[in-house]
Amino acid sequence: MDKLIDIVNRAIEDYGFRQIAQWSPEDVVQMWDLTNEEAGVVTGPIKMALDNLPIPVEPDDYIMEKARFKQIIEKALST
Amino acid sequence: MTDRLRNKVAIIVGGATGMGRATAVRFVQEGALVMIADRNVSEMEKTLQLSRHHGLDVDQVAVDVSKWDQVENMVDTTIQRYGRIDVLVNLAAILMLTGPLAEIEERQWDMIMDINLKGSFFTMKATIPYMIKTGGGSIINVASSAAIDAFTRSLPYNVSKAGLKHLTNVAAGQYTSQGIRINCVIPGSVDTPQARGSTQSSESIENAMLRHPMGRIGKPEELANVILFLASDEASYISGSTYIADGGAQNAGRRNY
Repeated sequence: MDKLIDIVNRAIEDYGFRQIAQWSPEDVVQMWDLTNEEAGVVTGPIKMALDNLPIPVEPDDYIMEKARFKQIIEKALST
Repeated sequence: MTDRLRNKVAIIVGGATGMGRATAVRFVQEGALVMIADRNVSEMEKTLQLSRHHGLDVDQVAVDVSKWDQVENMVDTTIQRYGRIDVLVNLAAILMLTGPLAEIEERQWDMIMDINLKGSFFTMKATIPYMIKTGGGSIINVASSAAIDAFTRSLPYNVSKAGLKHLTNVAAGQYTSQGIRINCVIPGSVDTPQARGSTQSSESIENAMLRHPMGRIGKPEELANVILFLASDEASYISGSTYIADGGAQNAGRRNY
């Protein structure tokens, strides 16, 4: 959970990292040493949500977006 | 259309968005047979459709340039489709923001270097043997003003782009005698998704425009024209050179925003 939160927080604040998470998620899975379940969340719901983020996310929206992504992660891990 | 690249086969690496998209469209307008290569498949599809408004000889291949097997597949796909490679444009890059040197994580360094520097090394390594077989070609590596200035918000990005500039110079020294011209373009601020993303807010890119000596930042199409010139026979006596296209920002001391 903490690793996924770290990943989405970076992706929200840094468009460069966001592109890695979107288009080379296997690198993120490897570098963060994610479990299979966590990897599925990165390549599934997190990627889908990242695809729809504005470029860039405005700093005023960081807190709201981070909270929204946290909910996405919690929902994905609970199913 | 003036056919400046008539029947030349070009791979545009990083062709999905921004300068890559503009270059793909410009090349097709000038008669090139274009293979668009990128890992962003959805945006690459849009570039493909835009390009096909100007010509039918354009195709696409998915590639993560940091993976050698995918780069080999990109080149093999191009050879199978068109039979040769005359032009390689290296535009794939990421600008990931980092803290000061002592705070940079090894994985941040690796992610940036793998795409920005190793990726271009891979595409050149895979392409050059085919260019030699057909008597030559043109390679254009697109670096950044960060290659020569200190852009303090991402040390690895600076180093990767400086490395790409020097990769260009050394490779030109090795392959110009075999008919391969290798040059580097250094864009200043250009209005691309990458640039907008790296500013961290839409307000800061608007401020960058106001500070620029031209009162605006570059358009992707303006950089595509520089790349087109270097790819074309008009640049037949140019190799190992670096072209700065920053709208005069360097001399005004305002290149980075």
